[in-house]
Amino acid sequence: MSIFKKSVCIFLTVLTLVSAFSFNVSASNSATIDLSNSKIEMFRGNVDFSSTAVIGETQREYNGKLYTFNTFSNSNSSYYERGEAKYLTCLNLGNALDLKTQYKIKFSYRMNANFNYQLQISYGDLVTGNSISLYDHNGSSYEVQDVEFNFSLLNSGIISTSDQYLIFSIVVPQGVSYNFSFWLTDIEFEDMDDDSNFKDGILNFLSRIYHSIAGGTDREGTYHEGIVQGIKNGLTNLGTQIGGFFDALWNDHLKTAFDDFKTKLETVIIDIKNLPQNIADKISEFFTMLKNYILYFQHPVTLDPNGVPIGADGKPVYKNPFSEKFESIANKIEEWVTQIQEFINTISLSSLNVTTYLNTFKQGFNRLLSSEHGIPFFGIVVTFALVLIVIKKVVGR
Amino acid sequence: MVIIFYYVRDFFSFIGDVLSAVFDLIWNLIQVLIKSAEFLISVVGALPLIITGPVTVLIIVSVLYKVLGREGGQ
Repeated sequence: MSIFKKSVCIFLTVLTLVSAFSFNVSASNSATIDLSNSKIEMFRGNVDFSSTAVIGETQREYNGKLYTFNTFSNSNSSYYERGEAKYLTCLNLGNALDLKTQYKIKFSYRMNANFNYQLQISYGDLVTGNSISLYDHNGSSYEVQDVEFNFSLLNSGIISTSDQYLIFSIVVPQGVSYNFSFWLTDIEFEDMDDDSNFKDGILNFLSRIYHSIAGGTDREGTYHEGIVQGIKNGLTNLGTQIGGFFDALWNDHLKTAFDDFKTKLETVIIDIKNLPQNIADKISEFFTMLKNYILYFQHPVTLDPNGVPIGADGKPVYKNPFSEKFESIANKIEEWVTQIQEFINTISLSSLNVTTYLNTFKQGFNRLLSSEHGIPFFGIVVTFALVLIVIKKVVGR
Repeated sequence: MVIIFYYVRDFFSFIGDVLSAVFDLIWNLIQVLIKSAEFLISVVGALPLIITGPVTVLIIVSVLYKVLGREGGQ
């Protein structure tokens, strides 16, 4: 059986196990949240509810710590022209609840009111008023209820559980002179995503594996860099080191060596270029000296400052036959040299332009490959493609 | 008689001038090669590492492959 078929079989088996056991064990293995955590704090109700007076309180002990629950009653009847939600009490949960976790809340309450009320439980911010509704119950004038429901804050739009409140409130109907008392007790949270849950244990395990590969924060809130990110960072570090090596090689050695070679070559070429002229000058000097020597002893003649004899008419008797030829050759060579210099300037300018364009491209390319701005895995794909080409090129031959 | 010395002197001067001018021309042609090398180096240096790195590796591997292949074929 091929590795692919084996992998598919293992995946399907795990999927089947997760599906089969999810309904059997999810409810039985949940863990109760430790309410002794000091982040959970009781409040006495809304400040807007000024007419509310505390008429009694009850105390409950959770894990060795005593909590006080308040009982409220309105002392003066009021008339409301429109329905209005009134806060009964609030739990400041601080960071006790996790956004991603599925919770079960249990509590008991007793309501004694002179109207049919709507009991609401919501979760949100008391200051801004932003909240999400978790529970809604229409009750009669007097009720004792044991309440239990599941809720999750995930996808609620709330980005932090800091300074968030679990808010108990009632809606007072329109046109009612209200009078009520509210008594809350036996409040208890259960973490439905606890690791002792078999399904969630598997899901957490798979989540850890997935996030270890892909990177990110798993269901338990632990951050993993991820193998892909690790490889990418490794390649980036390797690339930086290789780049540093080539930069150092170029800047510290090759460029210096190239410049030295260029300087020495210029010196040698200039020496070689001047060598024939120097030899010719020496030969010319010799023949001039010889000419003057012969003339001096043969018969004195009148010489101009350059040593050329002057005829009877006062004009030079000799004209250099090579001067015009050399002038034409020098002009032609000068023309070629000018063209070559223009070509060299064109190369230098092109080099500057191309380097500027490539540096711009390089910056964009590096930005594309960087983890901060880039397309995920693009660098890996490009590197893989280049390595594949290299392997195919070398091995395929 | 004297003219011959003039002629010889000017001939060598001419040869010297011509050769000097030719070397000047050759030097300019060499400068073209140097500038081309500088152009090539600056272009390669401006390319992203992800291109120059694998190409460098490819060249090294190809050279090694050729050298080792040649030795193995003997």
